[in-house]
Amino acid sequence: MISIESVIKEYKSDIKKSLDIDKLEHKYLSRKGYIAELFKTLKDVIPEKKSSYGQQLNALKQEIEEYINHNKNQYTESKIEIYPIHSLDIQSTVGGLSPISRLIFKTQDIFEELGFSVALGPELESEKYNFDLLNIPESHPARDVWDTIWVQNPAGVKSLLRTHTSPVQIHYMENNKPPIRIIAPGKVYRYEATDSTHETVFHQVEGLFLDDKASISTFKGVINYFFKELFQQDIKIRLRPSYFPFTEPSFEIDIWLQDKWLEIAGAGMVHRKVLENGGITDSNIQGFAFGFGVERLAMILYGIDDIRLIHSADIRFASQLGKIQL
Amino acid sequence: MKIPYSIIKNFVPQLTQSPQELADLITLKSYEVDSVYNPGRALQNIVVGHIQKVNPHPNADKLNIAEVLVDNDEILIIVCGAKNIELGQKVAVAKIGATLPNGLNIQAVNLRGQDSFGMICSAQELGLQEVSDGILILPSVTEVGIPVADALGLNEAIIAIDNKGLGTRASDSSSFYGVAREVALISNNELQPLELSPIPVKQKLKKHIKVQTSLCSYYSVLELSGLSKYKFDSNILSKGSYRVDLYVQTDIFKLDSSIHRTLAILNQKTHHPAVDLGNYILFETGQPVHVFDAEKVKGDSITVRESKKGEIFKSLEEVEILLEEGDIVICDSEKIIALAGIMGGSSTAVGDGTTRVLIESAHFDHNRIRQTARRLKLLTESAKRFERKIPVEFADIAIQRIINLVEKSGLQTLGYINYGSNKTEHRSVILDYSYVRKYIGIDISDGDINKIINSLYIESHKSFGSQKHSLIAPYWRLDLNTPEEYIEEIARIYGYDNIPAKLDINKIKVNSDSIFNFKRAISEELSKIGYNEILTYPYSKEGTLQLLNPVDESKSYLRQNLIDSMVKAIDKNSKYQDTLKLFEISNIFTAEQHLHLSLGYYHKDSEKIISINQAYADFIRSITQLGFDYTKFTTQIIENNTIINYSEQAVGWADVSGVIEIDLSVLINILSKMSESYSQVPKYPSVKRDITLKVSNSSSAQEVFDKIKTLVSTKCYYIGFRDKFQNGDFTNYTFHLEFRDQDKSLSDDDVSLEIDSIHKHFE
Repeated sequence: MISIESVIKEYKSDIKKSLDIDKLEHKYLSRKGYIAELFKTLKDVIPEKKSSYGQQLNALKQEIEEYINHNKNQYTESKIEIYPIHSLDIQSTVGGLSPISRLIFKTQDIFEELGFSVALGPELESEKYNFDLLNIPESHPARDVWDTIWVQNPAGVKSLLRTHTSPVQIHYMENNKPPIRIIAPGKVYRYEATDSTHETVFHQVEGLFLDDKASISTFKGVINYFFKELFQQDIKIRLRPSYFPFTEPSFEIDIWLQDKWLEIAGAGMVHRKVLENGGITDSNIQGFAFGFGVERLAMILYGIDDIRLIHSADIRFASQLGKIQL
Repeated sequence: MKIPYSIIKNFVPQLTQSPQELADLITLKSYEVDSVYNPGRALQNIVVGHIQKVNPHPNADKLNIAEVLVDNDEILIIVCGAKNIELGQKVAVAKIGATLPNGLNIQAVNLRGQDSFGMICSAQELGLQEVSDGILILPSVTEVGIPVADALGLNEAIIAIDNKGLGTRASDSSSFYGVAREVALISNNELQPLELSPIPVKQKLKKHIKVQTSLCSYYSVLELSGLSKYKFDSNILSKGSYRVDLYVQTDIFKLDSSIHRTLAILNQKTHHPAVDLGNYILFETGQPVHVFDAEKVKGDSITVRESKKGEIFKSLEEVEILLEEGDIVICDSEKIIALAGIMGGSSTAVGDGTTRVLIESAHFDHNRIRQTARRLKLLTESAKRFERKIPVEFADIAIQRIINLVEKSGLQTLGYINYGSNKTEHRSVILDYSYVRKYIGIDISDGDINKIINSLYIESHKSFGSQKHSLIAPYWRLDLNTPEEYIEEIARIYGYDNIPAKLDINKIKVNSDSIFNFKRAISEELSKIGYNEILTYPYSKEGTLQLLNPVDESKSYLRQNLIDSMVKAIDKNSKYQDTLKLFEISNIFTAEQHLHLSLGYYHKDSEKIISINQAYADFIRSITQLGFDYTKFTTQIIENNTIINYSEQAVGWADVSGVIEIDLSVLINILSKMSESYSQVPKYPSVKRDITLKVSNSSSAQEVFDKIKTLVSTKCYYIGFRDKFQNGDFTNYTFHLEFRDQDKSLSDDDVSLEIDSIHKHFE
């Protein structure tokens, strides 16, 4: 087994020998290079030493990277000779965006008309942002609703894959002052058994609207506008009581489609604690947040009967959808 | 939480809504309703039969041939294998055409030479019990021919409320009475009081209560005796009879039969009637109680304390449970007799021969109950309620209700003892009515707010000359602690439907995330030139970040590239298509996340190297639309990997498998550093031209290409090779050029000038 000491020794001698810079890079920094190999051994290090070992390893990696960047100026000729050895196909056949992207982009267009901007947040999240700051403390029974996929880095530090896009609310509030109008589309992850309506990775769009007068009535106006624009027709919408720890009051949003009410989104007036956690203490500021599952909406809009098709990378599925206009 | 409609109706007699209408009303005003169903509906075509004759089957030892009367004169011949079949029994007969709850379709069959026209069912086959031994025997008084669902009292609408998402309202809605109270409120009807009887405080229980933990704020015990005359005949159960027999035939516990019927409808297992009573109280009042066999509780005191690490508790099911430090336990002088709020122990279990019982009704810390129950995976009905907080007042109500119910059955109450405080401390909340109007966005009057507040049993005191009101919630509303929580009550009773939708918002500047816009722009460019977007799973066999609970054990890391998935996608789809153009934009994870793009081109007749070139060229073509200069892209080989650079900075690589992968995070960085302002989406359309140039055979395509580059203006953002045709001493090369101006629409004339200058040069 390789050790960090042996790698350092070899690296020093390679530098002395002025080993070709590309070879050096490949040997140490490629996907199967020494550094990557060393990172793999990290899981065998005893927990107490993990953090210091990880730091040592990162320092070494950085040193090598700096050396390589500094000395890299020679370029070899490429095997990919782009221009012009082969006849390229530049016929513009019709490609297509995934139903997810199409819906998200459409959502962006609609909300931008109302002054909303798109904001993003990390998929790799901390417990603090995914739960604590959203008023979901460890002991809260509501935590069970979000089955979490937990992640550990080579230094043994635990984090998680965000279970919802709501943490973006906090990130954004921390860096921006009201008035705030954002939507935050992105991937979310759940530890879940998959079936035709459940996936372990899917997409949500979060929305946040804060100023000195945004009310439940404003929320109804905004969400009505969105669905009307999305479906290009008047859509009947209803709010009904629900519970989320980060909103008070909380609602479910149903839309009337195909002669029945379909649960389509969760929403509510942003909880005072969440505002405070985001650094907003002015009691004059209020507003609403909402979130919906993009897959669920896509399934309704495109008549997709199995959520697993979304991640199937099956071109027959994708090209079928290509014919549908949204 | 499941509630029979008839029970709600008992508490709210003026209710006019049908079960479905009521469910809709609850959904709209109160909480989510999972479903409205009728447990009897699963038993269609199953009727009460009377056994007229039983003869052994001539060809089978274990089978009998029965003649069963199912209607006035309809007699069915049925072959039956049950040992407990006897002449004269009333039984459940599934007629031909019936479908049992387990999916079995009843048809006429021939069993060892004897035709059989139906099936005599067990309780298990009817979906009433998990296990049964033999057929279900109905009371002898049961009317022949009626549906079994009616005979068992199962034809009843049940409203199932989703408590999981209820959060803080859980304690108020996890009981029949709590839901009835809510129904009375939202349907504007009177609520009947729960019938209670006074606690015999003077009859002191001959045991002390020692509470040694602050996690139990209230503990009370009621002793009942006189159970001896109701001998519990467990044999009745083992013979396969249904609980109906317990209260109709053997009369061992004179509880109101509706209690047993309700438990049956809710699919609760049958226990000793005293235990059934405890279960019923839990459903009705929301207060979990535990029933101990009084004779088996040793010593003269009951102790409530926290467990020490390593202590063992033997559960009702005789399972030894290892406790951690701090689990709340109930002990007699010898051992732990219950895991507080979760489950009783086997040493004091009620059973045959129990003559006296101790009924515990107490209040435990919800967080600790939650921790213990979750750790031990013992989410009993009791634990589910305790972990969501129960008002301490429920404890006395449960005892008063038990006394009320058993008074009618002739049982005696022997003694009672309680310890601790049985009052919830209610903090008042100041609510400014003008804040209510601002928050909801409606112009509701003070009077109308007060009306709603009063209907919720909330105490209200107005400060003189102010909009501020001091509010105190009733004890059962533990969830009302902030102004916004009160506003929710006002808003939902006012009706979310009655709140107008207003879109009176001012204009503000849109400033969407540049990474997102970049991702969108490149996705759209790629799709324009024929690429299909795919999404693949983020899990991988190897990587830096490990999943502690992977959804797929064989892929317990987060992927570090998109290439692997793209290669698989091409492989899979090439079975159906001759040409594939695919891309994916997703995050990959090293120590952090990075936004990557993968691009795959496939044609069944193309070599991999050609496919890579195509993918690369298509990438360049798209990216140049977004402000990148195609001349700055270069490639460089390191062993098998071809690194793609932009301005000498690595931005991605091409893989031998025929896929390229680009780190969009790096590209975005470059873009943001570019001096010229980057227009996110080109405003003006491009003009595309093909140009064919005749040159001597000694000129290579590369030379021609390089020359064109020097001849065109900056408006030409893309030059691509299209075709080559050799004709004698000359070679014709065709190139594809695309032009765009950032500030205006290009005219044909503008472009023609450039094309002409190229032609001129090569003439």
